[in-house]
Amino acid sequence: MSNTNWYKADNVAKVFLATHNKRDTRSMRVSVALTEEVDEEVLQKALDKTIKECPQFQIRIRRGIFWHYMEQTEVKPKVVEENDRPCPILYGENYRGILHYKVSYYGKRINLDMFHAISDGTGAMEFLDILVLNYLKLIHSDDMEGISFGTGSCLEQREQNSFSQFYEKGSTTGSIPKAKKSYQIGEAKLPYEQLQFIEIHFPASKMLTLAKKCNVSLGSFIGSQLMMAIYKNMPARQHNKPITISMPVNLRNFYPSETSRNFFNSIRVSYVFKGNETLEELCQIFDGQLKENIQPEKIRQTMNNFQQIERNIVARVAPLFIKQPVVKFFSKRENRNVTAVLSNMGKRVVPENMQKYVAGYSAFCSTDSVFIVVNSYGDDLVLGVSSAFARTGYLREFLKALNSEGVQATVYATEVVR
Amino acid sequence: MKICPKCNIKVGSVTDICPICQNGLEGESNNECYWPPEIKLKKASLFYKIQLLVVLVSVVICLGLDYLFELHGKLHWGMIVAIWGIAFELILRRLIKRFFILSQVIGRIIISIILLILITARFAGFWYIATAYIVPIIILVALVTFFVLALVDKGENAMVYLLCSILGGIVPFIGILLIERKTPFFWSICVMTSMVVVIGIAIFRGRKMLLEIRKRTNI
Repeated sequence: MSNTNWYKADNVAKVFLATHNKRDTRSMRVSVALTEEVDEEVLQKALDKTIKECPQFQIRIRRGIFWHYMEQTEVKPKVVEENDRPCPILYGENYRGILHYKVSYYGKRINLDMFHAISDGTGAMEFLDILVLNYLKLIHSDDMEGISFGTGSCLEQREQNSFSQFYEKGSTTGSIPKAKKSYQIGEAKLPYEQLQFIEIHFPASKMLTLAKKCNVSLGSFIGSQLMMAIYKNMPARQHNKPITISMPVNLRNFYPSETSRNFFNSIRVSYVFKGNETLEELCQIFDGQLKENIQPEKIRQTMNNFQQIERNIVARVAPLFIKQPVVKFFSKRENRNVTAVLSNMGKRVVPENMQKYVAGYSAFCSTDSVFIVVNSYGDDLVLGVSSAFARTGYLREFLKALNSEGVQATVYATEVVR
Repeated sequence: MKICPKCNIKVGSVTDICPICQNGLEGESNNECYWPPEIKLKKASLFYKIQLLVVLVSVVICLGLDYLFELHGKLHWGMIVAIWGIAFELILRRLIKRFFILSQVIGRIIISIILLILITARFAGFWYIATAYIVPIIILVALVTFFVLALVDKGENAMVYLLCSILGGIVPFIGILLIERKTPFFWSICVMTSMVVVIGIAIFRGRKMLLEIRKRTNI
């Protein structure tokens, strides 16, 4: 494989490339916990096999005069025992490697850390699924016969820039609606550019029951609970500020794309509390806004708006060293309009023969504020919380509210210096 | 597994403090490490901090002395020292990162030295010597260095710096020719060396050179 194969960074990747820093490394982690200890040598062999099936991640990001681009590299990844924080630095001047992803293990857990410019959660999870399958095929070859994972798409489809592919010229709204400055959870951030990662496990069946009681989906229920918890922890003088939850939406549900690269957009649910809302009322408001924002027409227009900005002649001819700080500035300004990010990766389903070897999944994403990734496997609902703030009062309110409904959480958290 | 009596949650991993409310936990730990042992924060070494202090204090002293013994119409040498001091620290900061790309580091050092020399020459009054002799010689050295690196570097990092050096050898020459209508000796050598390098790289790495230009200039 030579570096003659290259492609331009997509619409979303450009933002990640401009806005990464030591705290918000713009990387994500997806992990799978097995029922037995991980064997490093076998995992390395599985990884060597997986990169032949999924060569789209064997890339290196380079700077051009106008834009970044990705080119193929022959560097092979090496499996290491986990020795860094989740979502480590995977790009930039402080990064020591060539590839922009990392496979590590710790005990029974296999981690895949990936720089967000090369893929999104869906793409990363697909890569992890194939890796785990190859690993289990090497260890338990008899049980894994005839099992396959992935969409079965060809390399061209997996490398597709779907933003460009599905862009429709002339179908934009002309302007992006102005968002209001939202409440920010904490003032003091953790020192030394740290992030705290907290994995919260709930019984999925109990959570689903509670969501059904409120007549909303699980995602809306969790979002509403989070909003309520943030509100209860909010200083009274800031009660007039909206609480905005940003939720990434997988655009593969709206377009026929099988790309492994980024293909998502974010929608926002925003609400200014009056003070007398019940959880059920809030759930209905949240769900209503969510459904309104994921109308295919709205999704299409948002995507086309962002693509149009990228295709603007001024944006194209401006040198990269001017574009980067401009993108960073506007991104920082936009982040003030979001209180927290909630990403619902949905239910993980594995083939029956694999189920006895897989104990659970979890995921995190780096952030400059609060980012929560939700996924479930079997009866285990996991919230992967990444927090830049020293205060965790909103989480306490969140767990307290669920506790009062009879749902007890199990928490695993990284240690941080406060 | 330990329990937090305040939050009523189970807390895994080996910790005595609740990560949510920071109160003490109760119960027996399962002694299972869920995360690797606490990752040590990497801080700058004491030696680096001391040298940084020495350099910046020296810069302040120089600026102060320059201001106290202000010489109207003369060179403000304090500013020159300040610029060189800050540039030195920025280059050193890049060099002490244990992993770096050789051609990238050489490229940045060369650009920094050229800029520093031009700024110093402007204030110190040796602009002609800098532009006619020093800068073209530095570019000549860069051309040869990056040509060699472009041939041997497996990481394919040197090609872009070589292309920049070729431009650096040709564009100033054209500028001087158009503005001053003369061809300084060392710039002429630069242009000839640039052409030789282009021929050499076209022969040995022609396809890669064209691809590199296409990738870097994609709009």
